[in-house]
Amino acid sequence: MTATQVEDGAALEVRVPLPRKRIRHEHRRRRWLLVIVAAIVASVVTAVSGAGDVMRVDGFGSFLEFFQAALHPRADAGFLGLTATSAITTLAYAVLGTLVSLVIGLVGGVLTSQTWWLARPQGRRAGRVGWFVTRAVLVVPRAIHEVIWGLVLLAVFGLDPMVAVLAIGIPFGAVTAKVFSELIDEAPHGPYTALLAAGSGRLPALVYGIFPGALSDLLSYAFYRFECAIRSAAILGLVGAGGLGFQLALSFQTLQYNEIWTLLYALVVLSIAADQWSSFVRTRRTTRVLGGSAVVAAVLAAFSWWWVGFDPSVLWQGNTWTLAGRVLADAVPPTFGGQSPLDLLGLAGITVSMSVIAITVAFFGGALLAFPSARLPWLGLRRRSGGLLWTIRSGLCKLILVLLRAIPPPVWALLFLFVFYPGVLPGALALGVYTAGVLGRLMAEAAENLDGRPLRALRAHGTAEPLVFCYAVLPAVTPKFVAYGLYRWEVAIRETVVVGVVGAGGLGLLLNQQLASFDYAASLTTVAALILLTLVVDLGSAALRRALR
Amino acid sequence: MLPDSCADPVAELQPIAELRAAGAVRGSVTALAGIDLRIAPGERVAVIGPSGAGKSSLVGLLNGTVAATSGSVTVLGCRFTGAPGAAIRRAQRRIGTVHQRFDLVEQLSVVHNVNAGRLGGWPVWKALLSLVAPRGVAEARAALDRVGIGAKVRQRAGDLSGGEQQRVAIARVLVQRPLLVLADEPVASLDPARGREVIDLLLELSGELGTTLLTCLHDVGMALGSFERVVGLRAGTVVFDRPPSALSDGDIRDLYAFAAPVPHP
Repeated sequence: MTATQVEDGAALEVRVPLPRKRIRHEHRRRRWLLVIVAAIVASVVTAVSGAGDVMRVDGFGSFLEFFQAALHPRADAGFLGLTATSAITTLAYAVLGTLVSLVIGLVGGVLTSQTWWLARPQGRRAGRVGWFVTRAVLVVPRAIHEVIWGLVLLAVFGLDPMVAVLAIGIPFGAVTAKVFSELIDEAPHGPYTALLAAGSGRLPALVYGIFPGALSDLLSYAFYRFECAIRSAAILGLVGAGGLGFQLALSFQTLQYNEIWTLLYALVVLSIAADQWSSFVRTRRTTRVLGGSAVVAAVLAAFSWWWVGFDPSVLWQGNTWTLAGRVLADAVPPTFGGQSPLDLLGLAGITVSMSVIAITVAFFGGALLAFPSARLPWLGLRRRSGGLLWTIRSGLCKLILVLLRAIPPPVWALLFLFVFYPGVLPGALALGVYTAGVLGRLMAEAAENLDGRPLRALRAHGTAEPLVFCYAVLPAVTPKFVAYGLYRWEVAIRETVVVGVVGAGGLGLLLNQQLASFDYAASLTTVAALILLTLVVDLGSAALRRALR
Repeated sequence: MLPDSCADPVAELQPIAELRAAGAVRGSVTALAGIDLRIAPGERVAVIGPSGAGKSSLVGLLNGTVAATSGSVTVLGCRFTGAPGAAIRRAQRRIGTVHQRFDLVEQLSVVHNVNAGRLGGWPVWKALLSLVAPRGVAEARAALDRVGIGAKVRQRAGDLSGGEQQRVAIARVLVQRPLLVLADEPVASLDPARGREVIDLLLELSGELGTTLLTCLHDVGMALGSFERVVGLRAGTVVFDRPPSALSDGDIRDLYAFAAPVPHP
């Protein structure tokens, strides 16, 4: 290359300005980044500037004591037996809840898919209306957290396994329906339209034309949902549904740290087992693995049914409907229950700031743990065998991530109450630490699935590892990390309700108080506010995603 | 002709299909405009034209998967515009369509794919049961024998070669006992020899069963050599519609010529 050519190139670069659209996008991006920083600062200020002190120094002793107890959990035969039966109960609720959610998800998924409504050229407008209505109907159960469902259902069914099963099944079913409808709409449609053209009805055309192709995706998502259901079942136990969560709550009341650790270990084992099963099914989708897993799941479901004494007849027997009617009549018309609309707005602000702190902690914590735990062969140092040091480091980081997400957020919140006064901060940190465990794993998976070719090309130039990391790895994973982070932010808003249990403020705390005093009319208002907030956050996160793309 | 009533389709219908000033707008694009076409029973028609001329939309109009935005489409005595869904489906059951990409369900075995052609005539419970314990195996087998791949009845459709898959698709049409067979570029995904075989098979079957056949083709030679009527389609309108003997080389050249000659600087 000659010097003039180089000069020409440089001159060319100066002469060609960026397209105006690109510049505008760049400006918008900068504005949004400013908004994010401002939101984080404002949230931290809100959380810290509460009434009086934030930290309690005297609590550090108990905090340390708690973690020291990790080394000697209570392991006598009696307590181990109790832990085992509690673990099975939690597992059984998770299995049955997932089962209900799958039924709802399958029916709802078909009924909310464009494939179903817009199948024929005739009557498209009516189809669009039907599609929109079914979609809108499913938004509400999705926006209400399992714990809220649990508390409401408790008023209807009393202490019955049905409470936990439906509390998991209804919101999970609505989420599953959304994902299933997307999977159905994204599946190849050639066979389906071909069958419709031959005069087939919609249902047979769907079963013959779409399901065989989408089945492995549907099943793998079902197993992912099961993994989430284990955590939900534990949390529901904390509010009284029995199982590991219930025992955890009891041991917390008496501050038996060694018992708590035994129960937590059981929960970790259960989580890891579900986690491994789910990722095994999702990475190896052969007919044998899927079929075998389905059979095991069916056996597990039958066993769970028997174990918790599940009885669907409570749905139509006794005074279930009368009670449901009474709760509904109490709730309508909704009232503000002593709050002014402005109070609600203030509480909504606290909820948002709690979720912002949580997701900030989770994002950076997750990313810091994700890189050392991920297997990144293209960074060169680690060949397939890997060094011993690396194996230890990676294993340790993975273990930390599992621990973070296996311990339910309310338990984290109770722990943080040792060192913080009740308020926004312990709730936000609890949610953040738990979400870090979830995000860290997603991030590690994203890093492991990176396209290795550009990285190898850089390595081939003799670029040092840290530079490869900065020039190729970080730019490639950042958009994915941001996308996951925003997605988890939407989830975190819903989960602020859960840490409300321990007096972390916001709408969640208010709702818990209102439900505890059976004030359903005021609860309905708070639930509506939460749903509205969820919608606003969803829209905001979608706008952010577009701007940062 | 039965203009509006949609009784059970019969073979002696005159004509089998009729388009009157039919047009179709797909999205913001006008795919077809002012199409007049009458197809008599037993006719074998080839439709040719450049990419984007509206050939697939024409097939869509004829099998009822594309709604006419103007004019009328009447097939097997059923006027698609405004007819109730059940009546349209009754007609569709006797219209067999062969697609360019075969459109088989690759994860299902061949027998299910062939049976898929009869789903319109089966009650839902039977269709679902058949996935577990296949029904109508004998008929499926006979249809597969007819297209020359009877031995593959239990194989997974996705494991077959392209030519075999297109034969499964034709068997799927055969079990419909169709009065009208539509083929949308049935050989575009196959090599020339395999393509020739498939076209010959379609013509043979239509001769044997007296079925009406309409095929869209890219291969002009094949269209002129084997069909008694050739329709030229260009930019959504019919340019010519006559027997191959009445077509000149110039007609074909004009059909495929660029819309506006690009001036060279």
